[in-house]
Amino acid sequence: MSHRFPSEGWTAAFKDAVNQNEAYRTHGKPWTFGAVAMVVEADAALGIEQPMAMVLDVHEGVCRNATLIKGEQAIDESPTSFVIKASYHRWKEVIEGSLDPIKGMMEGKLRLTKGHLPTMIRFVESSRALVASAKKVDTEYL
Amino acid sequence: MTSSRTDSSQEIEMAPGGTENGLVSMLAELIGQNLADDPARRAVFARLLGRVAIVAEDLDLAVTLQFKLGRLVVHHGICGIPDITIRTSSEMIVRLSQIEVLTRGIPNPFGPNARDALRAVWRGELRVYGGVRNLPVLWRISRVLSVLPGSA
Repeated sequence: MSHRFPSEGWTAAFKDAVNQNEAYRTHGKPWTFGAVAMVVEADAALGIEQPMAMVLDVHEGVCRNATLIKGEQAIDESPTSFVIKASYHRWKEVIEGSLDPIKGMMEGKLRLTKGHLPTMIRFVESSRALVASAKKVDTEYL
Repeated sequence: MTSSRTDSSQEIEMAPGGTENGLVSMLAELIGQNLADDPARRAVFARLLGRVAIVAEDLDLAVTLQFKLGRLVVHHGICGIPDITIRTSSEMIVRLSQIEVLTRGIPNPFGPNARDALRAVWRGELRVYGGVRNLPVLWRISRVLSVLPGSA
């Protein structure tokens, strides 16, 4: 069953894909640094009227919860340790595997707007495993 | 000049034009947070003097880190004449920041990331110009850039 990205259904399917990913379980095992929000920026042309964040409560190689939050204020107030922002098209590239998240940050295509960058870089393989999980979700794009 | 997002904004600045280059803001942020985390790194940073250019060849991006004894200006592109120039892939730049260390920040040549770096040097995929002439600068910069706790 395909899920529209971004949506609550896609976020739930992403959580399941993360928890089925053996590589994430291994590389993410030492991760105890809090939830990660992937924020899709507003884009009226695509019908995304307000930013949306998929908040992954990841801990020790397991995604304990995944929620979709809508609106700038709700995102700012959510208890996330890391916030990564990008346009819809950039996230599409990340999910499809054509944009590596760390390279994307180096190029300014993805921006870490909250969180400890050295920790994020230490867990680069864990980030890649998360992205690989996203690729497993049967995704319907806007 | 633009300061980085960390509370090290007095010490680290991004030169005009730097905000368009993600690597500029990334390195400014990385060094700023490393300094905020660890007073030992701050002491190393205070003794850093010189220009270090880092070129991510696969992304066609370059930055110059201009260290001024406790201050840093991060420039977009190659700025001035660098004392050290590191040319490699973006992947290797990440690995260089993960090189395992022994005591007092001395790189552990037997760690997996250090071995990858040595292999990349051997294959010509990592080139460090001016490193031998400026070993203390190279050693200090590896300490302020390392993402591993206790690297200083």
